[in-house]
Amino acid sequence: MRNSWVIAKNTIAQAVRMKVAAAVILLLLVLLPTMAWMLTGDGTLLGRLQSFSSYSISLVGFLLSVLTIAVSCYSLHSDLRTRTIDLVVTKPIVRYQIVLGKFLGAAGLNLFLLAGFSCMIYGLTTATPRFSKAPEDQIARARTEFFTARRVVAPQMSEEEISRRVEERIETLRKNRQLPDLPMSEIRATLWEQERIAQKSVEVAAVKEWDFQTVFPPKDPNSVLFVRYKFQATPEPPNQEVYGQWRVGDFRQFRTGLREYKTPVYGVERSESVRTLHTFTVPADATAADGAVTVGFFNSPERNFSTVIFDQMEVLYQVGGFGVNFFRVVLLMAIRLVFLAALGVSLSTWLSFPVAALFSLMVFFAGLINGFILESIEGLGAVLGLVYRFTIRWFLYAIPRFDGPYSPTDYLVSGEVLSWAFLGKAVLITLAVQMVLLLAIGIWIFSRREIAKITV
Amino acid sequence: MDSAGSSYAIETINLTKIFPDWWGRPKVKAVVDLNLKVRYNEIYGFLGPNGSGKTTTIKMLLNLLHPTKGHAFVLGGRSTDPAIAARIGYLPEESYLYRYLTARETLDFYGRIFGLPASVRKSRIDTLLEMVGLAGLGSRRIGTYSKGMMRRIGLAQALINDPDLLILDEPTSGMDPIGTRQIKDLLLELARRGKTILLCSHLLADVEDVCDRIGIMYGGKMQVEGPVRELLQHRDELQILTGPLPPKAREEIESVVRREGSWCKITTPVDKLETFFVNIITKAQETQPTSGAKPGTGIQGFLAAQPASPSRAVLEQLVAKKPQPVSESSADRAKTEPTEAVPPSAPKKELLEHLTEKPVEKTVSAEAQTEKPSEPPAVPKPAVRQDILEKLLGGRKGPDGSTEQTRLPDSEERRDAE
Ligand SMILES: Nc1ncnc2c1ncn2[C@@H]1O[C@H](COP(=O)(O)OP(=O)(O)O)[C@@H](O)[C@H]1O
Ligand SMILES: [Mg+2]
Repeated sequence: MRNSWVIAKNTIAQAVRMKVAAAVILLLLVLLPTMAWMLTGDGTLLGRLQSFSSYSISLVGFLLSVLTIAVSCYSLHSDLRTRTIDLVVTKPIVRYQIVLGKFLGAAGLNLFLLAGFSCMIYGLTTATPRFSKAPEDQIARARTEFFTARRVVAPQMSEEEISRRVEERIETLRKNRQLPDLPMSEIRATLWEQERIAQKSVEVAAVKEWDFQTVFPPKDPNSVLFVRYKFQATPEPPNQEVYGQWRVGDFRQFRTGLREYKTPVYGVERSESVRTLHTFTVPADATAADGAVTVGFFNSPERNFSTVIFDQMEVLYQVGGFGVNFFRVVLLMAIRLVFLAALGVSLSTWLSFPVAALFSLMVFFAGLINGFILESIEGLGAVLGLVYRFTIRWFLYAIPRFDGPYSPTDYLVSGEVLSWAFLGKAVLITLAVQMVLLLAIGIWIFSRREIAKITV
Repeated sequence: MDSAGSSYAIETINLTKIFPDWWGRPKVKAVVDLNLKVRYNEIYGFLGPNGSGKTTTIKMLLNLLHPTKGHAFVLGGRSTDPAIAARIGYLPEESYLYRYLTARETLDFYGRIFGLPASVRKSRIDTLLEMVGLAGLGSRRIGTYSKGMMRRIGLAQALINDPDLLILDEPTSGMDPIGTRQIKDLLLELARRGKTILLCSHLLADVEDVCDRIGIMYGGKMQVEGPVRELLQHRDELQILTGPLPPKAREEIESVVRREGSWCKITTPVDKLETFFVNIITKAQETQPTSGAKPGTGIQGFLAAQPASPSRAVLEQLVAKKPQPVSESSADRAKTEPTEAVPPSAPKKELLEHLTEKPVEKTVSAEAQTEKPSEPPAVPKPAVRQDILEKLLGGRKGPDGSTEQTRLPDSEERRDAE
């Protein structure tokens, strides 16, 4: 380990002399304060905070990822090319220590920079309310929706219900000899999708209820419950708006016919545009003591003429503070950098700098749109689908995801908690499995490599 | 510790390296069935023209290249074993050093890999820099060095761990004559301390002065091998060197020789260019001192600053062998400079006192004893030479000339004296 640290130190000394390192550092030092000043979002304090945190975290994440790739791919390759490695390997050092050292150096330098720039972003973010001279209500809103860590709870999807219906329909089709000539799994997937959409729809004059479990907002008279949703409507309403009558509370009380309610049920009425994310709040005491709460939506025939289809429905409540959440978001970014460092070093044990860097960038960008590709290629035709199934899909499964829940920005922008459990899962998959595997391969190759062999 | 006995510092068994071409077909037979045996405690001259397979052999010894066939053992084992690698010093054919590090950082980097504690590193780096004549330039980046200066740092790097086995691949390439002379002295001094040295070169003069045994490679094969003296000795000729003689005495000598039925030729010895060069530079230095680094302490500095280590006993014996009167100046320096070089801690002082007093028998092999200029009559010469060197060392900023034909004046005398 001592040897690895010596190599790591040298790698850092080498990296800080790379022009790209100086460029990245300088760029961020200039851009971050400028962004804090210039990005105003929708003009409100919340909008300003959201756009700054989103852009600054993205920028730091992107530039440091590129720098990590550059350093990790360059260092070992440069040593091999200038043959300085000849001297190093003849010292009492084992080859794996060199690979580890290169990895530690590349990762260490970038983690150090990440720590520095994160502190800068944190400082700029928390200072924004004071310097923007925003009115009191905006500051209060920023406090509840940005400077917080909220847990997102999805409704209890009755998957069993869907499965039951799917099986029923398959049975009916079989009886009527109407089963299409397709693989069973495909039929099932199609039916499942249809049923799921049916579950999300609320016809005119109908009521839809979503049951939520394990909702435990803090026992504070000021604490609130956020209901967040997005819907579309068919046929499209003329003014693009849907009028909704909402109820939030423990519905079991009137389902069982109680006269007196132990917890209040709140009513909200709003007219809102389709295909946009909306949030309203109710006092947090709407939740029952056991953490159950139901959100009800009535598609009122007096004002609406369309079936409303909910694409998203969730409730949120505060579980922690901004600082700790910010720290976990930085850790999520750190995981990405550490993985990329391992990838670059591992590739550079047998590939030249340009090839290794190109491949690393490919993995990085594929990771950024991993979920998107997986979804979009899923619907390919038979032949293409077959090709894809044996190539790109394996590649995409093998590399880590940097998008969706692995994207650090969303947590901050929407003030959502990034749980330790999720972070642990990311560490386990990305670092303990994928990274360790990569490093092992790199070490295996480098240990067998004929160092002084010249390939022209 | 495989099949190779521990009786050789370096042993290769049918070592073969064939470089394939792009298609994997054998193309260059760089080394063919080489059975190299280097004994402990000898300086082995590994000679051969360019492309004869010397570097390739060395790289196989150090596992930088994998043999196509055969085995290579170093210090009774494989160089991949860290315990063995810790006892090897290697100077590659070119100075493969990190250009962005300073000389001091470079030595510190390798010192750390050898696991040397900070205090040892510091004192060794100081003395090594002094020794290779770069004391004042330690904080300059290697990238700004000239080739010869890089070579010097490369040499210092090879000595940072006080190695038992030194593998030097053309150590004098790019060095000025002074540097070359200095390296040769260093090698002799190290050999006296019980080190084994594999000296690879195509400069015959380098090797002739210092080597116990040589092997000549050509086309990847060993052509001839043996002790330098045996290979070069004219068995049917004698040489007599005298001071000035009147013509009459010369005639008498000639007649005596003829009476014995042999032939005789009397001439005046001519200086070697190296001696001439060194003398000129010495004179120049007296009148116009250079603005460069201070004169190095030579090998004594390095020895004196050695902390208590297994080889300490050897060091004491070796340095004590220097006779007092002639090595006056170097002894003086040994008293002052190393203490400057090492940090305030004092333990080395008493070591120094040992160094300048006790005359002890040296413990090198029988062969080395006959070869080295260690016999009483030969002693004054190297000492004086060293004196000159020390004045010159490091006073120069860079190399300025090839060393192809340099040869030591006293080496001839040494042979003659036997
Ligand atoms: N990596 C390599 N690939 C192909 N040929 C090589 C390689 N290294 C050395 N050679 C060839 O091997 C032969 C011996 O080279 P080398 O050992 O460097 O000679 P030298 O005795 O000058 O040190 C030369 O003909 C050289 O061209
Ligand atoms: Mg060579």
